[in-house]
Amino acid sequence: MSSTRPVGIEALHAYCGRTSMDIPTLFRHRGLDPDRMANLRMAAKSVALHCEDAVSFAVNAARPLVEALTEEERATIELVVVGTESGVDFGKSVTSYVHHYLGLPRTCRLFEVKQACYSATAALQMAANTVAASPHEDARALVISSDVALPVPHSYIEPSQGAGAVALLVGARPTLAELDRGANGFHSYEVMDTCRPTPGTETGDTDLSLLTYLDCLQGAFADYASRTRDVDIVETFDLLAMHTPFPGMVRGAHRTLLRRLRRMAPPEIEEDFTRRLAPSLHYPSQVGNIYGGTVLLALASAISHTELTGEARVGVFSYGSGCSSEFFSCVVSPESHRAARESGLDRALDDRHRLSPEEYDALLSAAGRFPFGTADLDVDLDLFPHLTKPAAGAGPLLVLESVRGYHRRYVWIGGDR
Amino acid sequence: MSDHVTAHPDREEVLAVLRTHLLTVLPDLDPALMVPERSLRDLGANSMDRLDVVVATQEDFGLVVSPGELTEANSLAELADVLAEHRAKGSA
Repeated sequence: MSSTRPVGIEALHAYCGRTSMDIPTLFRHRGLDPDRMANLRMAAKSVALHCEDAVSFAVNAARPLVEALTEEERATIELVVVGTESGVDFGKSVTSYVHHYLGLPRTCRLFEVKQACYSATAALQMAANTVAASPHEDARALVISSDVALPVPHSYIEPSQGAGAVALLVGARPTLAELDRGANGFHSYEVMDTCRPTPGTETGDTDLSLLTYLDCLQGAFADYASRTRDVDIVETFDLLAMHTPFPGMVRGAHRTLLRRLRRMAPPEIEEDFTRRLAPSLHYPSQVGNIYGGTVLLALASAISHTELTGEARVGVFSYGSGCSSEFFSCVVSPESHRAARESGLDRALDDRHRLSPEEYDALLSAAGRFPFGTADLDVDLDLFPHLTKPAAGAGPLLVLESVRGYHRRYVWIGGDR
Repeated sequence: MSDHVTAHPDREEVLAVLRTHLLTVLPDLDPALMVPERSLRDLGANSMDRLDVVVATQEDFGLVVSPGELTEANSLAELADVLAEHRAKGSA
């Protein structure tokens, strides 16, 4: 049964790692052409520790949201879903581990969804519909998008390959963003643009992916416009947030969209970009592409880095290679802005340890020692003591400690654990 | 798949537009290097440059060509032929 009660994001928390790599440093280290840095429009990217995977990232993103709930409120969570393309098992979901380490009640559905970088939106929309259809007015869902790059060293995609997770509490008190119910446009078809065809490979055709992204942006927006009334790409949305493979891509897509839909001249497009889209790129330019979670990171960035004086509508474009895409919208408020700021992501990003090129290569090498399918393993948590030591003011961190008979075991470090 | 053996009759006209847009994104490029056998990538266009050139050329001719067809073209000549073929068919 549908209902008219509001549905959306009650709270959001992102975990984007404790270490980062500066992009100019990486370009120098790899001997990449510095002229191509402007194309990316990135300052840094997050890098996973050797003891971090999609499970630990997801738990570290969601922990503060769950801890802020009372026991009674936790019992209202009917669904836990993780969107990821960095799964750790073909059958057992990442979510089963996440549910355990978050200490959630057993009275809920749990599973994992996959559709490249569209997975977070798939999970969010499914969660919103579950909450809206529930006979319980206080029903909630926990949605987490969690991904870790499979690095392609010495390539031009390496600088944009990040790691991170974004957790959302979805329910009927959408303080952070209320979804416009029924205002969703889709554009999806089979294409081989970028993919993870083996457990250790991330590959693809950049040109095909960029052209497909652009095609889908136009198609999904056209479908959105056909399902709603009097929509205009400029007038209807106060802010925009899009999947951000790298910020330069979003800038190019915006330019093409406005030229095609509104015949806008370059100076007008530039002004529009700075006013409505640039706030969404603040976090992605510090974190890189975190795959499924990137669109949510862009949304969080738009809310957090815009001074809102009243309600504002955000147009959101989600794209996942392969491909599936959606244009949807939500309404945010000054209260959303306050909540987004209080989640502390700006400080967490500033507090990341900036890796030297040698540390960066050592981390990649250590992470590569236990690929997907490892049956037994002890992770050396003392390998990089200066990286795993608790950061001042940071909470506890879940990390992978060992694997026994394919069963992953995690441990909390730091904080009061 | 474009036919790169037999040139489309409108190839030269489309090539001229492609060259104009390529020079817009790469103003320092020597025009003499823009021979039909070279690709946008060979000539130093990065992924966003290539996107800009292909999108702007389609817009000039009022074309909408699928991403898959565009990326099968491996040279300026093949790209021009794909676009010219769609233009001849009246794709818009």
